Amino acid sequence: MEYELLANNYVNWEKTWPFLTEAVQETLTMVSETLVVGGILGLLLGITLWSLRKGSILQNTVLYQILNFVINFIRPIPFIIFLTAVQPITIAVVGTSIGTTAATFPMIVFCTVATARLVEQALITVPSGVIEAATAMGASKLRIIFDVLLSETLAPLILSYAFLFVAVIDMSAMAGTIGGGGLGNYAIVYGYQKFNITITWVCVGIIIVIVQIAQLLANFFAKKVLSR
Amino acid sequence: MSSQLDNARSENHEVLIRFDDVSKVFGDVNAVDGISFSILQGEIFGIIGRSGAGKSTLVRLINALEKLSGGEIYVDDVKITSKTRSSDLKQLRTNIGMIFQSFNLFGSRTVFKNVEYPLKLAGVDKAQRRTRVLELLDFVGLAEKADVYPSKLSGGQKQRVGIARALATNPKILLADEATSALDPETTLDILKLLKKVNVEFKTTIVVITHTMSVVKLICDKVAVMNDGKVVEIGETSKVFENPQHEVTKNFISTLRTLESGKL
Repeated sequence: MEYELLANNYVNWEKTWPFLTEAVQETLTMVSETLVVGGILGLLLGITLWSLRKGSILQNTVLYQILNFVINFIRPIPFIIFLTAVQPITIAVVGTSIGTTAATFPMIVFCTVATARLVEQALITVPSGVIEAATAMGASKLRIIFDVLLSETLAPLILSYAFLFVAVIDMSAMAGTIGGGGLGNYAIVYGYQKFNITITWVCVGIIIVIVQIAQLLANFFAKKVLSR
Repeated sequence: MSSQLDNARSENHEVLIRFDDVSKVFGDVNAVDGISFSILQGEIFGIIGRSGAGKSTLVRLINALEKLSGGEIYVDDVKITSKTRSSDLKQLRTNIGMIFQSFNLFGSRTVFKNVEYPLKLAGVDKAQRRTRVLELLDFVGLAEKADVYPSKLSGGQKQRVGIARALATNPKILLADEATSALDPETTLDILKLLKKVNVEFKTTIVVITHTMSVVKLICDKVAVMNDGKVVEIGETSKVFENPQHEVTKNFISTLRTLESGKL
């Protein structure tokens, strides 16, 4: 028994290395694509949500409630189920339901929704009086969004995106189940399914390193912005 | 009441702000209910009332932060009606500065950049902005705080920045919404002195909203007393103090007398 475990934990690094680097690349590709597209869409959606709130610059309760419902509808779905549930839409949009590109689509949708909520939560911390002051100076709505809203919440926004980064890495691991590739997939196929715990932990280690780097960078920039 | 205003007019003062049957409705509440009066160029005009009397709403109609429900307001010959779109108001707003009880400074900007922002909006070039900001910071006595963030300032200093920022574009009108209500008595006096100085040196017309009669007594030339969305009494401060007509005014004055006497 002990011998078997040891045997299963044997890793031929020379053979493993190319697969592992490929997995890292796939993860980073999926995560960065998702974060860039979903992050920007989510930022826009978050700003829209904020603007539509009661008393805000484009107050529209009906539209707000509709968007709010859509977001609340999508967010609680466990991502691994969401992946499979939206497969017909993924096929319609991307043309296929397997592979890295197919995995990126639901990731972007999920990331957009999560980002929107985080952005909205950051933006509502700006006191309405500050917005009012800018309005009284003659600032246009667009100016208020860029000059006041986003610059006042830059630090929490940076931290929100760091949080999202981790969430998206988490999603990318699940995307492995539909052939999305990446570290998550590698850990399951070569680690778990082949009873090789070493491989699993190598993947875990790499993910921890990636997450730590992202968090450190985010903390650094947030602190820099907040040094006031 | 109208004779007092007529007298003032004959002293060669021009009407700068004129309310003409102005009203503002929130749902089924008449926050401002058919108000007509004028504020003259160069005055410090107090609007006093209990909280909920409608004074904050009234003053926000002047720079169209609130949309009129009825009536008209003329501000330096710009006509505001219920149909006025806020996008047409940039010019008007550049001509009206505003300061607030909670200061409402931009926390992410230094003192310098707070004061600079309205100049940026007005399209003033960088060199001129710099000169103007330094001039204003000097005027409010905060020249050495230019690179400090608002969170490092005291309440009085924050309001000084607010005043400098509100004056950046050299507006004809300054709206002070409970500008001293969050400050201690000593700082309140400093800020009131500064407002008086603004009025004298720049000839800025100042509309002061307050719920304390001492503020009115200290700096206002004229006062309008508001109650339930209506102006119940209006006139020169000294005359209103001498001979208050309305119950609300009498209460405000007797409260002040009690505070001054130091006896309950």
